[in-house]
Formats: sequence, C-alpha cells, structure tokens
Amino acid sequence: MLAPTEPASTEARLDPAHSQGTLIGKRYIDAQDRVEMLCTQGGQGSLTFEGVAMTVKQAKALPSSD
Amino acid sequence: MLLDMAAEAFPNRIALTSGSASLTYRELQTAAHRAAERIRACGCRHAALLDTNSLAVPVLLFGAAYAAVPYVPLSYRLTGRELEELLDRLIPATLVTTAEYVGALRIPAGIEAVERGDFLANVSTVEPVHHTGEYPDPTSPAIQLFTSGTTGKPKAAILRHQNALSYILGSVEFGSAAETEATLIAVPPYHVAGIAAVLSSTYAGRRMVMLPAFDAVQWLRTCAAEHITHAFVVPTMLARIIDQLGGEEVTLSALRSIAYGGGRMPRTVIERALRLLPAVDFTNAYGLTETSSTICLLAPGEHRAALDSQDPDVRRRLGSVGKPLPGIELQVRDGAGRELGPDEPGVIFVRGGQVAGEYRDTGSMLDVEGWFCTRDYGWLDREGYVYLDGRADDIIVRGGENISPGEIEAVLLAHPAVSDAVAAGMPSEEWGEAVGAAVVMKEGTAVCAAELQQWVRERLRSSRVPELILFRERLPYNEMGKVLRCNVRAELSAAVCDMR
Repeated sequence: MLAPTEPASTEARLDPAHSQGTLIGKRYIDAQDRVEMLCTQGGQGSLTFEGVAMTVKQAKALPSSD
Repeated sequence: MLLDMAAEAFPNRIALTSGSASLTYRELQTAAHRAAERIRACGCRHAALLDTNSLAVPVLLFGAAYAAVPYVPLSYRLTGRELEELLDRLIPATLVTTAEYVGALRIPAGIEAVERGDFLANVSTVEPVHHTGEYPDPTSPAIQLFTSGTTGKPKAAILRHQNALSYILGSVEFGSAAETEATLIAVPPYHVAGIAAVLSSTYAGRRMVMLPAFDAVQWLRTCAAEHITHAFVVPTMLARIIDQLGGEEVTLSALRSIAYGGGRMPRTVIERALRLLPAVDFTNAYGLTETSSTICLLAPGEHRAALDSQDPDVRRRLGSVGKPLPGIELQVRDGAGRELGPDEPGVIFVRGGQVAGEYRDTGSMLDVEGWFCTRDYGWLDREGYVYLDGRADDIIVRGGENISPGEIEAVLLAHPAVSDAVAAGMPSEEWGEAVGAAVVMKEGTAVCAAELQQWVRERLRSSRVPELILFRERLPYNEMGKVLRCNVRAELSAAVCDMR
C-alpha cells in the first residue's frame, strides 16, 4: 500500500469527461482488477486507468468482529 | 488516515461517549492533533497509557499516530514492579494515567506522567490545529503491546500502520454504521480487541461508548441507557452477563450484535446466550495481538444453524472459530512443517497484510514466505472451519488474560515447604481456563492449599492464584527431565470433573 505524500493541486480544472465524482471510503478497481484504489477524500473528478473508467468495488460485507 | 476520513465524511457525528462527556469526529480529530503537538514537543518516543477506558484512549491512540510514535497501552493489572520495569523500556515517553495507578510507582526519569484530566483539558480546544496533511510512514510502528511470553517476561509486540490498516480496510466498510449505532467498549485498552474496536468503530462511523471497568450490571445498564447496538466481550464477560440477565430489569432492545473472542468459549455459555438473546447476532472472532486482532470468524448465521441443526458436523461448529478473513491464508502444519489435511491436528500458521508477527527485541518472527506461527494448536474440518485446541505451548488463558505457568511455579517453589511444583491450565466454566497446580511437599512438612494460595496471592496478581492445588508424592517427568505438564493438566481436569 502506498501512502499519499503530496497534497493535490488546487489549480487543475475538471475535465467534463471525468466528472462523475469519487466517493470517500469507496474502493475503485480497473476493468481487469489489476489496480485497486481507496478514496480517502471525495471530490467531483472520477478515476480512470489506461483511459478506462474505474468502477466501485463491491466488498463482501463481514459481520462486526470488534 | 482512518480518523481523517471519518472527520471529513461525518464531522458532527458523535464519535465517542464516556460517562457524560462526548466528542464528535471533528473534535476527536482536533484533540488528537493537539495531543500529537504535545508528544512532538516533549521529544517522546512512545505515547503510553496506564488507565481504564475513557475519552483519553482514542485521543492518545490517534494522537500517537499523528506524532508518528507508537501508542503503548499498559495493563493496570500488573504489579508496581512489573510496571516500573516496562516503563524503563519506554524511555523517553509520555504517560497518560491517573493517580490511582501511578501513586505508588517509582516513575523513572524520562517518563513524563500526565493526569488524564489534565491531558484532556490540554487537548480540548476550539482553536484550529495546523494539519500537515501528512500521514506517518506505513512501515513505522503504530502500536506496541506487551504480551506475556512463555518465560513470563513480557514481550513487546509491534503492529505497524500497514498491519492495522490492512485489518481495518479488509474487514470494515467505510461509513457503514448508521448514526444511531453505538458500540460498547468494555475490554481494557491494553487488549488488542480494545484497540481494534476503536479503529473499526471510527472507520465505520459507529459511536464508541467507553466502559471504564467491566461489571455485568454496569454493562447491562450502559447498554440500555446508551442504546448500545454492538459490543465485544471475552467469554468470561458473556458468562457473567447472561447470569445477570434474569435478575436485571433492563431492556436490550437496541442490541443487535455481540462479537466475542480472546479465549475459549464454553459451549454451555454460548448456547445459553443464543437462547436468551434470540434477536442478537453472535460472531466468534479469533485473533492474536500479533495478527492485529481478528483473523477468523464464525458468522451469526453459522451460530444459529449450529444451534438448531441435527447434523453433528454442523452442531459442533458452535465450538469452531469459523473461517479465515478474506485477507488471511491459514494452514495447519505438523512438527516437521508439513501442511496437514482436514481433521488432522497441528500448529496453526497464518499469512496476510495484517499479520505483524514481530517483537521489539527479537524482530520479525515471519518465515521467508511471510507465514507466522500462532503457537495455537488446532485443525480444519472438511468445510474449512477452524477448530482450536489450546496453545502449542502451555500458556494458561484465563478469561482472555495470558498467564505463564513459569512465574506461578517459581513462587510456589520459593515456599519453604515446597520441593517441586507445576502449574497448568484446567477447564473452568467461568474463565474458560483457570490456573491449577500440583505440588510435592518437603519431607516432614505439612501445609494446606489455602496457605499456598495465600502465599501466591501475596506475591503475584490474584489471577495467578491456583484455584485447585493437588498434593503429590512426585511429579511426572519424561526421560529428558522435562515435566509432563499435559499429564498434570489431565489430572487437574479429572479433579475438576469430580468436584462438579
């Protein structure tokens, strides 16, 4: 797992083609399930990998164990 | 990171309650940043806690993470001398505590002791705190927990940020709790389950209610008063809660989920609990300090199916710890390290991101392929359910507390009339396992069990006092001169059965 180190640039403009939004706490995977990302701060932009939109991974719900 | 996400997504939700005091997620985040500033300012290398559950527990846990020093909760059940030895190993450190626990202690130079009340007063502020936006290095130590080793000298288990995160991200869905949900944290802060409860509740967005010290009546009353929906208990706590259920006029209508672990659950206790609380989901969680808490679970549906089934294979699952979490691989191996098949007992090995398997003094205990030996003995059934059958070594697990027989034996042997002694676990309805002992007296001496029990009580904690002492002519040894503890354990078990 990688730690986020650099704060995101505030200068960038949102590309309307990538404005579906990204939700805090959701995991995003690419179509072939090679890359998985966790959104730690939500925003209007959306994620792509190799030009293809990443989708929300549906995690299997586990019972609370603590 | 976990707290930052919670504070971002639901800043005004109540994060925790202790008595009449509460903090929102935003307030908890601010207080943790303030605590981090204090830790950095004093140049401490550890953020230690010697206290019962209170608001200070999550504040210091997250504050230590922001300051990039390990959080080190200490057991208030230790004797003064044991604590002084541990404090010596933590210099330089800040220690959040109360007079009740440090009043009689010699605090070594380099340990800055802070009263809990002063600590909380100093960190609660409405002034904005400068956020650096940085996270600690994921490979740096997040938590250091002292566990009782086989020799009796506590080992410092290290959990790195990446281990704890791997467990939380792998087992909890972010923000999955409704605002009305509340979890009752009744395990002590120095137990890995207490730490896991803080982390997973924060990530789920579930309000934490801190219970300072467990007592069945207080637990039930707090459940009712705070509309508790979730709780974690060790088997001993559950046994006391269900004993109390009949006598207490309380409503547990909000309670939906009880998770349990930390020791062997007697079948009679869990069966009674399932019948007395038909609307509650029970989850058995098996884990170790070294694995960042839970590695296997037996889900609520599997409990109910086992209770009602006529199939003996399904019925016996109530005695299983369930199946490994998705992020955990588990193997049972024989003494030569070969992987065993279904129903063949051996030692349990695990591998996964949450498995830390590391001690401060000895370094990583993982093998080259990343496997960790749990030292738990057990087997897998054909469906992949994990069954445990005691420790591979002889640690006595009494009510979730690990007790090394060695220290009890040393004290017994120090008695002028004792020539030989062995301590071992024996089955207990109340504790899962209790301490028993067999002793040989010197010729011409006579002492009763009560006198030896008093002797131990004066020198060790009360949990170390053998509940049953057998007097023998000699103790069983093998030809290598090693005492056959398993034989003593069998004799103790037989004696316990006779007494019932």
